[in-house]
Amino acid sequence: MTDREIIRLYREGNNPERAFDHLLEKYEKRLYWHIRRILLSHEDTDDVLQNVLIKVWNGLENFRGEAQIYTWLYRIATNEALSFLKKNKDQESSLEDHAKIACSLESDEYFDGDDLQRSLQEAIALLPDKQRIVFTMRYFDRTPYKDLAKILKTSAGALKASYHHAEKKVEHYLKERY
Amino acid sequence: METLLNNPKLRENPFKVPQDYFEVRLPSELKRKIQASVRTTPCATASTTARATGQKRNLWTLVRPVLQFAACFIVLFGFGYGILSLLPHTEQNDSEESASVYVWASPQFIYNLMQEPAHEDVDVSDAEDLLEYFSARGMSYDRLALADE
Repeated sequence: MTDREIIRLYREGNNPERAFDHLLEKYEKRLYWHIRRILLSHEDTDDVLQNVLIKVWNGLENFRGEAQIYTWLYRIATNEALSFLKKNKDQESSLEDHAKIACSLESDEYFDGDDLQRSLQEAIALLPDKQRIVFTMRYFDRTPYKDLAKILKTSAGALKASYHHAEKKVEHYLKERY
Repeated sequence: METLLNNPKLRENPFKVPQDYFEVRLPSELKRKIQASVRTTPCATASTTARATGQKRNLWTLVRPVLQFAACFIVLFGFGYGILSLLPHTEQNDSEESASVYVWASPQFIYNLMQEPAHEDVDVSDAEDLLEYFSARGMSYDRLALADE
């Protein structure tokens, strides 16, 4: 079912829950992994994803279709993840942050990566919030810059620069360890 | 260095989710939360309340500047009235003022004023009277002439 068909079903059909189910079926996993790569922890991701989906359910009525539904969903998910990060950011130094991330990944029963993968996640977690989002969406999902620009409401040029800086930092972090 | 980031293993997903998370846990939890949110704010009630609040807000937004202006006016008026009431003035002053105002405003006075010629010829006897008046006050004709020049 296409996005347009889902929206039409929501607006014209007698069963909006059915349209929402179709939307979930199509996007929930993608949104989950998008948020998970930013937040790392499953529990945090679960909380944020539920908030995102409730916002989507409440906002579907007012969705005008000016943007693609994919862009709209990713924007909500990204903003929610960023808000979560800001809310939970304390005054710890980057070294303490690093220790915390490394420790949390080691003890995370839902992390199945090797040392190199763990180091990559640590390096990504140490990036500034926006660079982290740009890097994960480009590196793992290979999201085109034009889609990133729509989701993050930033120019493609600025995003390329952001990705370049993030890539350099991650490379540097990995180079120190391997 | 770039070889590390180009390593295909790094692009693999190292994360897992609990069993039945997408199939059971997430949908049931989501359904529960959505139902709870609907129960606390039923659509009709919520929209009606929101609309009513919006109307109240709109009305208040319109009325507030008018009320503020009226309040300022009342305060200024009261302040001015207080100052005027503190100034000393007697009933006699009031009656004199009102009498002079009455004379100036009377139609008869205005009529007389209009009947007067614009330039009257100066009577010589009046001029002599004036000279006498000034000389009595210590002002000579010469000083008056100099002052004229």
